[in-house]
Amino acid sequence: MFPAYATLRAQTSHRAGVVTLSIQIGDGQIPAGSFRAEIRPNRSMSSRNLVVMVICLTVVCLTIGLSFFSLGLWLVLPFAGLEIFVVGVVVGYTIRRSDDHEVVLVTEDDVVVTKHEGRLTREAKFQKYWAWVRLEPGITRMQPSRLKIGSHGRFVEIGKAIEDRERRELSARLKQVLRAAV
Amino acid sequence: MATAEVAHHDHHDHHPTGLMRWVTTTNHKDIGTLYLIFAFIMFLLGGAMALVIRAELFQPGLQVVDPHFFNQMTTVHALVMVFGAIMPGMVGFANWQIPLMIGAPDMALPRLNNWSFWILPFAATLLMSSFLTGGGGPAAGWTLYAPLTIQGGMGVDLTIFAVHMLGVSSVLGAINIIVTVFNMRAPGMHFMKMPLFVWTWLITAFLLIAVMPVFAGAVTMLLTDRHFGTAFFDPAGGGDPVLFQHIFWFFGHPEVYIMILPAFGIISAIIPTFSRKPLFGYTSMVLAVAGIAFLSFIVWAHHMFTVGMPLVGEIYFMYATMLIAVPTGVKIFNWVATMWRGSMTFETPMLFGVGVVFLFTIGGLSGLMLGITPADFQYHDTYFVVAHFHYVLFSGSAMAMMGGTYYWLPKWTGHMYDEKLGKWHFWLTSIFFNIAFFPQHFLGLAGMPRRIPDYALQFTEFNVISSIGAFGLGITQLLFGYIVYKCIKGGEKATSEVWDNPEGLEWTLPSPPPYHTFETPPVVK
Repeated sequence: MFPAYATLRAQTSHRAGVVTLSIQIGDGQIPAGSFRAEIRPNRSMSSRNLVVMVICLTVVCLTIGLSFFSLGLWLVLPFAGLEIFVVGVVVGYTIRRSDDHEVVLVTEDDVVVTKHEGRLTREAKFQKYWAWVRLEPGITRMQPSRLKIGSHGRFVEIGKAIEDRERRELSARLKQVLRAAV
Repeated sequence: MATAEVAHHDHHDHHPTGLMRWVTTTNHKDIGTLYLIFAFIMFLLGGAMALVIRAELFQPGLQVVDPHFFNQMTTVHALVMVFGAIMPGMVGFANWQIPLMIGAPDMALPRLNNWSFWILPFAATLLMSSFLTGGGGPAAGWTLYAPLTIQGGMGVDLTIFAVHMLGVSSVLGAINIIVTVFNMRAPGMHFMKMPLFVWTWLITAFLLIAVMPVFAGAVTMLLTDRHFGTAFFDPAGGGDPVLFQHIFWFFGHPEVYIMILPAFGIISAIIPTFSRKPLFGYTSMVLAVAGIAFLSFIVWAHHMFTVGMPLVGEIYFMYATMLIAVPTGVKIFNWVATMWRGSMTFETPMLFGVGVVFLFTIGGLSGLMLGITPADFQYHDTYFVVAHFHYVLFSGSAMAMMGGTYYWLPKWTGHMYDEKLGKWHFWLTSIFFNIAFFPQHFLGLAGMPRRIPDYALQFTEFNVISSIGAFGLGITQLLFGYIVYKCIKGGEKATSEVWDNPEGLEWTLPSPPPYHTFETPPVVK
């Protein structure tokens, strides 16, 4: 039995993100022979643990706020509540964005780039035989390179969550896959 | 979703240059630089106020300013140094170093980071504008004790709004640091592998979140007492001024640790590098920092022994205060043990590192003296207290930041600083600091009260010495500004490691590090 994807390369020790490149070699949801790259930023804590952290902070802040409330200094409590609300919003936002990722799927005829950002899923589709990959160096030495894929003058940027070296590798791999198709 | 929208979304990586780069930046390095520049400007501003104080105290009698303005100087000097110099300075270090140290590409919430910083200049302007109001700036001391602040002029209102804004900035910064450290550590960077600087800032961030609402509530209640007919602290309406002291110090004592814990982190980075040994007792250091943070919540009333607490309360707060000496002692011991039999060299950062350990210990010991209830009845509100907290905050926090600046400046700028001038800066700072503040111990023990513009003749000699030291210390800091400026403009190229085999992910990057990302992948073993 083959797994759905056989991972060619799975990097796990990058600062900025993780790239998983796979090629379909058995039964799965994508056509056989297609190429798939998934790019997701590094996240070091699970959503559950972030929620636990917020709950702990809430308990501490509310305990302090309620203690002063019991002494008649009630105005501490609204500030504690406001602060916890901000912490909650920020952590909620972080959790919502923790599953952000990009998928580049090269099938027999198409290149499909799907970006998952929060609740939004955006997809761009290009004809495989016209698609090309462009790796632009940073405008200055201090800026990162930019990896774009597209055709007919329309390009989308991919791989912003990974570092320059990984972008170079991803670029080379995508070029190889597209070249093989021609 | 349409491709066009995706493409449009993709162009935000270009950023403006010139002034707008700094206004709109969301880059942690840019924002760290802004924080550090702001902190240095406020440090000079607060220092200038200190020199007004020392000029007046150079001789007995009133020579330079009137007593009311003198009180404004003591108050705003402290507020500027605490909220404008030390705290933003430490946040500047956090912004620069935490992402580099944990292997994150940036802070977790970059736009919030920009906002956190840009609140500060407006808050500082608001605080300074209090001098322009009818009654002048706040003159009740940085503790803003009621009922004096209830009676103050409009300057107190501006101060209250200013500290609110400064508090908002601090809380947002703290939230950002917590989320960054929790969620953006590189794979393999477990909590117990994090550099101690990151640990100290993580714990500091939790302290900030716990106590800032208390401070915000306290000053808001002051405001309502002043303008909305409440009587939380106004005895005329049945309020309790002592309650303000309790609530203030419940915030104020952790605030002291908010200023010193990141300094411990900086020293814990410097000493191992120049001792060429790993930090001794890493786990005990982490536990000591956490222990200090916890104890900071249960010792606040040692600032108010003379207020008339029940004896049981006095004894409790005395013993609780003594407990802080244990984790602090652990840290001092570990730093010394790190140096023990190390191949030590004394470049400028190490000079500051050793200087901080030595001078902070003096401040810690005088703190122990102040923590003894019966002794505190003698020392309370004297110059002994002034000497104590300057040994903790200047030779602890400020000098640690100076040492940290020299330590990481080659990494930040890509140039080596002028080592000779750096050493001059250290020695002049240390010598003038001791000339300025060591005699204040004697003044306090002899009974000279703090916050007075005039004094009895027997205190003259020590005050003259102290003022000479203060002016020397102030002028020396201009040299610091020049050294940093010179290093930014050019100098010998710094290597990636800068120092002899230092530990930490930041040293795997080129100097200066790339604007956005890393050229060499980190290895977290």
